[in-house]
Amino acid sequence: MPLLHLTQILCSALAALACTPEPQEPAARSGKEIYLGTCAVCHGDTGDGNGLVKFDRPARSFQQGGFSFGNTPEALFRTVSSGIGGTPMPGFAAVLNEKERRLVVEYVIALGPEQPPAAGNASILNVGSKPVVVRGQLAPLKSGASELPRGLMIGTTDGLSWQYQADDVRLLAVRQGAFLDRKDWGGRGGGPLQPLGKLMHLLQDGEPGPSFMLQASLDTGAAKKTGSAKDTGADNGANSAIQARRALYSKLTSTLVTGQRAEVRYALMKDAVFTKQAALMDSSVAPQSTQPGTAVANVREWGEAFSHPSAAGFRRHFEVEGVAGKRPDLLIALDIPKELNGPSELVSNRGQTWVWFPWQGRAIAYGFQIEGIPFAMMLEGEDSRLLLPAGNGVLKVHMTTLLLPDAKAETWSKLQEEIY
Amino acid sequence: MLCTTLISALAAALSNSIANAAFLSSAQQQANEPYSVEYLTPPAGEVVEVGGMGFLPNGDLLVSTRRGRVWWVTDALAGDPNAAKWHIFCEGLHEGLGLKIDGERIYVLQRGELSELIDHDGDRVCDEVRTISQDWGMTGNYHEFAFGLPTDAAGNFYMSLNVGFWSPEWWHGISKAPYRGWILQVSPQGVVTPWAAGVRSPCGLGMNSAGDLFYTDNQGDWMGVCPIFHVEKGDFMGHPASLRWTEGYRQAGRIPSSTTPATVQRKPAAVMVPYEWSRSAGNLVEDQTGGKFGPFGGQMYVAELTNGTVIRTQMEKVRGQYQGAVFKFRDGIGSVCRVAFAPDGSLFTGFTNRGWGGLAPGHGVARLKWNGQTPFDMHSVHLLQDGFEINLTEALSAAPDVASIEAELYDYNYWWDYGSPQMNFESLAVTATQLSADGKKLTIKCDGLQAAKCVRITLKELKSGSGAPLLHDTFHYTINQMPEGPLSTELVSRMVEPPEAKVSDSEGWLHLSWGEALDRFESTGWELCDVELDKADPSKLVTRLGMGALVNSGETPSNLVSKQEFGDVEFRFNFMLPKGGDSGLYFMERYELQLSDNVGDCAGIVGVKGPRSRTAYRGPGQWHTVTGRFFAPRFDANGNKTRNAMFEQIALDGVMVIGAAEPTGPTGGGKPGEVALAPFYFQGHAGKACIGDIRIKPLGNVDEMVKASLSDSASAFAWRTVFDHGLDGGKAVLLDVPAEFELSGRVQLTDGPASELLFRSNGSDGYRLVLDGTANAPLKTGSMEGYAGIAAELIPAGTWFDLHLRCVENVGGRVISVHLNGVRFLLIADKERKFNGNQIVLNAGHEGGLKIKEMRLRGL
Repeated sequence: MPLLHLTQILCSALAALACTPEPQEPAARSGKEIYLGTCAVCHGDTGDGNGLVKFDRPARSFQQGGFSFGNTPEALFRTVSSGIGGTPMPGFAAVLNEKERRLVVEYVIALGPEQPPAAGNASILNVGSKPVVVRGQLAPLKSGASELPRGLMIGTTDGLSWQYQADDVRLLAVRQGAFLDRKDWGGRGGGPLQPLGKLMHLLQDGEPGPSFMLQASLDTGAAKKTGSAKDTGADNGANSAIQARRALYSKLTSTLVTGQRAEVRYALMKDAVFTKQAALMDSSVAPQSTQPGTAVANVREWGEAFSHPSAAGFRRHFEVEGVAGKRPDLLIALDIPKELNGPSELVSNRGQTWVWFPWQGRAIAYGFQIEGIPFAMMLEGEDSRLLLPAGNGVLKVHMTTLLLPDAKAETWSKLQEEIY
Repeated sequence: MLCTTLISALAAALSNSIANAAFLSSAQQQANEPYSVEYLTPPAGEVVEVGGMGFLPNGDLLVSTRRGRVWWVTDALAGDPNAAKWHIFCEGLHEGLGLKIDGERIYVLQRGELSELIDHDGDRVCDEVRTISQDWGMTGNYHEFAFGLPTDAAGNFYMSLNVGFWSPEWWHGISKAPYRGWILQVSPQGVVTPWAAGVRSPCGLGMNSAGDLFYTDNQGDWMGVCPIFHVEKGDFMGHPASLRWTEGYRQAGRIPSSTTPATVQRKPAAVMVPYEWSRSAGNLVEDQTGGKFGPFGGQMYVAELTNGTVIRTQMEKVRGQYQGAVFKFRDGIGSVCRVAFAPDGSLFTGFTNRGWGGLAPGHGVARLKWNGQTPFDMHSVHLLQDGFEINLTEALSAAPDVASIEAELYDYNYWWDYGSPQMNFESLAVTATQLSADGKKLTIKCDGLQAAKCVRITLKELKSGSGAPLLHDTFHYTINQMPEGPLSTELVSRMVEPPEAKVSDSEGWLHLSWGEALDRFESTGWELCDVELDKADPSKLVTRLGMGALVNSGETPSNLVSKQEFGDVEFRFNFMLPKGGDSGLYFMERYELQLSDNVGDCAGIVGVKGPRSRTAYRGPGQWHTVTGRFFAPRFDANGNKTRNAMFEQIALDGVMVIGAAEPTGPTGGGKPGEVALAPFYFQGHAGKACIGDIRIKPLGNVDEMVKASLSDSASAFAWRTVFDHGLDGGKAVLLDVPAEFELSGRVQLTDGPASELLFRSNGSDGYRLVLDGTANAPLKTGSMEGYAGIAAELIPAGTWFDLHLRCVENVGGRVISVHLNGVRFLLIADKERKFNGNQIVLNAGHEGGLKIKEMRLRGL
């Protein structure tokens, strides 16, 4: 039997357990008993990770003391309760009551090496029961790139962290594991934050382009620009189509935590907006008030882990609303790797429409669900971005990035079936 | 902003007798203080580094901190200060050096964003951080703080932006991104208007009841002392860096000079606060309590961080512009960065000093309460054409004698050097005194008052009619304009010849505790942390996360022993002791310079007749800087001592404690025997001690081998100069060398990572000597990759240093040694002999470069 199927069976069994409606009244079991009864099958009787069941992504060895999502009791409690999306680790909230989960957490920690004293970790922030949003400086993700004086780190309760640039908002990377060390609490201040999660996915080498654009042919200001570009003989027809698109500046308007969701909200600005030194230097006027600019649309964006037993992944959600109603000229430009040559597989099932971009030869796939526009208008590739018309009232886009166990075509097709 | 190293450098240059007068013992003071200090107790283990404070209508206190939190404090006004309950309202901000509460709405100024904090569900936890503006530039430089946050009647916010400090010429503040060095107005809708330019390190703003905006700056380049300015749109306060973003400079594509004054009209400071009263000013707030906080209604209180005080300023308008007086108000509080009035009329003070230095406590909140007894003090002063009217809070029975009044004029230099001494002193003769009928208004007449001068007036030993002594006997008044006569175009800060260009003040020095502070020492039980005295028990220390000091906080700490050996040295370090603290610096493990919380002993040499100054040591909890020289004993060829070890010019904060001392042998507790070269150590077991910024400048008798080799010009092994100019980033030089060789030269790293010196044979990896002064490089200058790492930032970028490299064959293998500034930092023996002669490659890092002088090479 292929490994994958074993995983599925096991997890289905656990999931079935998880569906038991009422947890039994707690029999007085010790942490060890609970562990041996519930965890040891995968993690081994001694916590060495060598249980009866083997996985592509091996079960964690507790003896080594490393934990994917932080080693505090609170973090482990969360993991035991909710599971780890994209791995065989299910949640046990419905199987074990809170006391039992705490007992097992205590036992699992005791299996590991002695914890270092907490004092040295005084600047470490963990994600508890609510997402944590942190603004601060970030080191560049790409060596040689410049620092980000305005960065944003969001830790969600599913164990992921989301690394953003906070002026001209862009998601740069998604991490998995512990959240953040506020290194800027030491010394005289001004240092970068230290994300602690393992890099799970990097968008365009950590330097993604703007996320939204205007189709200039429908926009008079930008159309003029296109005209002048032509006058200088800069292009042919194909190029002018590209040049006719104008990147929009994503101006942060808010970060909002509501329930388990941490939203980043921003306005898409058509006019030049301050914050980049270059923009100011171009101007030859005296220091004068910056203008708030003209917003074309407002965006809400948030992310979450995408749970599937055989592949880790995450989803990004966008809600785009034109400021003055519909903006048919508005494009959302979502980053996908340059190597992807669009479409794709179009699947419609159970009332949901998905478009998938499996990356041939790489263990990754991108899926899109779009609400609010007919499918026919949906896709146009440009460079390394997928362009979607976004200005049709409120547009909802859900983008899934799935990191597959391997790059084989059959793995992908199986997974695809499972997902629908 | 408030760089302690700079401050101590200046301290040495200024009159210390005045500076020391600022530090009275707090016990002595509390007794007759009309204002008590009550400390609130933050939750155990929490560090509350206050950057902003405000009160909700119900009296709850909100505190924003440099750790990016906003604390919500209920019962902050309760009778018992320990009754206050703290919880975190908001986590995850990027600092918070300004906070404003407008009704129920809460605004906070982060380093890169002005935001409103919104609690949607009423659970007193912020759910939404709403961006009002991010429209100012940042480069990521540590010093680019943003301060705030008063509002005007229309709801506009006012905030101020620091200039950045870059190595190597950190003393020149630079504005590399728009509006660094400006005060900005931000409308409630987020429209940013550059309001005034020329600010340096504008740590605090405040607005008076007339709606006039004020700000304080911090002494440094172009700011002789901490000034208080009245801010009006279009003002230029004097620091040129910000001018880069004005129309004229931008059109011309000019960048303001760091050393030549700009020709833009400067605004005079309303009040220049003398250095001995303020070294790092914070915000200021007007007393609008209607008498609940005592008799000084309408005047402003200023936070002062380094000295740990609140000072009082009283201004008047003369010829249409604010100017006025400054008084001491309350000492011994803590590192006060923020002041704010509570609804009950008490004055809350918020502390922080991380990375800046200041009186303990360095974090937390305290409130000042008036005891209801009007102190006998100077209430206010009014400038006359020929003197001052001084309003007193209590009546005198008779006018004092003119001889009991001191008056002197002085001014300051306006220049790029760090701070300015008081200049051009001139004594004024007080010719008459006159008392009003009610005995409360004293008029003094003196000749020679003039515009563009500060005046110090001291009323010596003045007593009220009821016999009370004057609480504070001195005020300083900044005369920008006299009441009558022609308007002055001069300023108190006078344009003077600029000082000579500075070379890096690190030249010749080794920063043994920069970067990884413990890397160059052998020790156990010492940690790098921030530290202050325990409020409850000043004989104890409280440490917390930080990089402020090396502290022997472990249970059985060892000595802190240098890994390197030294002979003759100039030295400099900072120390702070708890009450009863005791330590010592043992040069060559033998000769002790005492560090003791005992005025008579501190900075003395054991067995040498006592310290000359009995006032230089200022007591427990105070940071002191010790400077001096030490000379190793000398020996003849037979090992007989020909000269004793010697100490020279030992000074405590610039005050000479020992001129010269010559111990005839090891002092008590020192290692027996005498040698020419040995490590030094700070004593770890005698008592708790906090040590900082240990610098050594090797003098004369460098390692004998280096000395011998450099003076050896004879023989076939003659030195030849192989390189003598700069090497741009990304470039390399190749030199052919034999298997055994010596290389010696002067090197300077420009600010940029990863230069290196490779020496390798054909097909072998050879060795890689790291030349890298950047703060975050794991291997720093002097490291040999794969063999020995140096994590201390011994030599900062922009500083010339001597590099000496020697590679010789020995029985055990290839022996390689590296000396920096004449001190051996590396000695390795490699049995594999990875290098066997061939080539040296000197690679300049891509983003930086190397400067090289007289690089000489010889085969051995």
